[in-house]
Amino acid sequence: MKKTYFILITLFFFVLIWEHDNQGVAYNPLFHVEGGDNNSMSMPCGLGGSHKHNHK
Amino acid sequence: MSELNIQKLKVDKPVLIYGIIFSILFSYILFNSVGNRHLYVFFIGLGLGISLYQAAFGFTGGWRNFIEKRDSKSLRAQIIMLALAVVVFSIFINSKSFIYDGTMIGAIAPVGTSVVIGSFIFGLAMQLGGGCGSGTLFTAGSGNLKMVITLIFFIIGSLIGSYHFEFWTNLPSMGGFSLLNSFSKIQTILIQLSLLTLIYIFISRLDFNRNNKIMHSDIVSNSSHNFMRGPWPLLWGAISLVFFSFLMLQAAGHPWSVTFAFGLWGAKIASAIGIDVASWFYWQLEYPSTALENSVLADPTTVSNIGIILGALIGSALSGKISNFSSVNKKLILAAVIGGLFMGYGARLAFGCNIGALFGGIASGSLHGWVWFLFAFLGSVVGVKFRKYFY
Repeated sequence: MKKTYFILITLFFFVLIWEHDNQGVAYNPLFHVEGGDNNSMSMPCGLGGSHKHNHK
Repeated sequence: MSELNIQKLKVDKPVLIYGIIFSILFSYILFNSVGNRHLYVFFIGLGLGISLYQAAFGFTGGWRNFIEKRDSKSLRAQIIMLALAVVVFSIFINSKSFIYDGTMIGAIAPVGTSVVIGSFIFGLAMQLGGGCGSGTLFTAGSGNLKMVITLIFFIIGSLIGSYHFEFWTNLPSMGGFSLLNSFSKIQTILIQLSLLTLIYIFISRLDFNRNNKIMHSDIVSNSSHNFMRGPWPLLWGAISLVFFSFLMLQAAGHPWSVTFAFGLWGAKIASAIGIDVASWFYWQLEYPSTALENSVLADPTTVSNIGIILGALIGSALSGKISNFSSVNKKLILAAVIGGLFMGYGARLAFGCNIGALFGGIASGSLHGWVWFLFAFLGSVVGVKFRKYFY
């Protein structure tokens, strides 16, 4: 059980690192625009800033 | 666990070294090729993982204890945690971060059909899966193989939820409502603290009526008070989670979130095997589309989740309990599969889990956090009944 567990999470960690190496990343792409106001913000829920939450 | 038994447990050095090596590796990668703020988020994740593990701070068991035995201990600790978070977050949301040049925002989502149904499904499923969003992460990180299965199906469920996202969010909704946008900070704090106080009194009364006694000090007792070895009193867990959540708000610019990353991991895997996830409505929204186009390590939710897994691993190594691998039978696997799948699906519909929607939502003064709390609890009442067929 312990071996299976560590094989699984080690595999998971290396896949993350491998994907990072292949995909690449722009600096801070998912953080809010620095110095911006609320309209430039987004949340992980996917709906954007609070003004965009009133879509329905 | 008694003080004597804790002293007998030895630190699991190989596991501790494993956790430290991977923590250093991820810190190096984040510092070199992503950014300082991601590194801070990772460290905060480590702190959250250690805190969650050492205090065994989960929503699932606490809610179940109250539903089955009217044991309100864990639920009272959660109410105190929410009260602390309400005060801290109400003061700082919509103000400038001290870590970066920008304004911090709250977790505000629409109150609608999708939240009601999604949170009910989540509450039901978490009783089958054996952990909520944060609970699944920290127990999977601390060596629980069954929770690794729950996590795998949590990811699949999140992906399916993102596929159906457009349908659910087009159902009737009253839109987002934030107390902070309608009242002053002081008024928001007073309104929410009043509600939390009423809930605290109500659950304490129910506990007393059933068990004929209640000890309000039990959330600081019955533990070892050993900082390194644990288990911590629940109050320590509540305070440390609010502290690290505050740091997360300052570093990430938004409240702590867990389940977005699960959907992202699923979408990445689906894309890798040729499924055109990018054409789905959800993955064309601003934040998800950016996340999908970049490395997973660019997503702060992923970074904090890795930190939580490694933090829980380090915590369990320090306490010497990582080797307590429980056996997994077919019934438990089935519960983990069903629970994980529906938790993932429910979290996507409800704009998050107990952390992103309940904790983050209520701390941000958003009505959807309260709706999530109510319907997830009702779902748990049903889930506890179903759980008996599996456990």
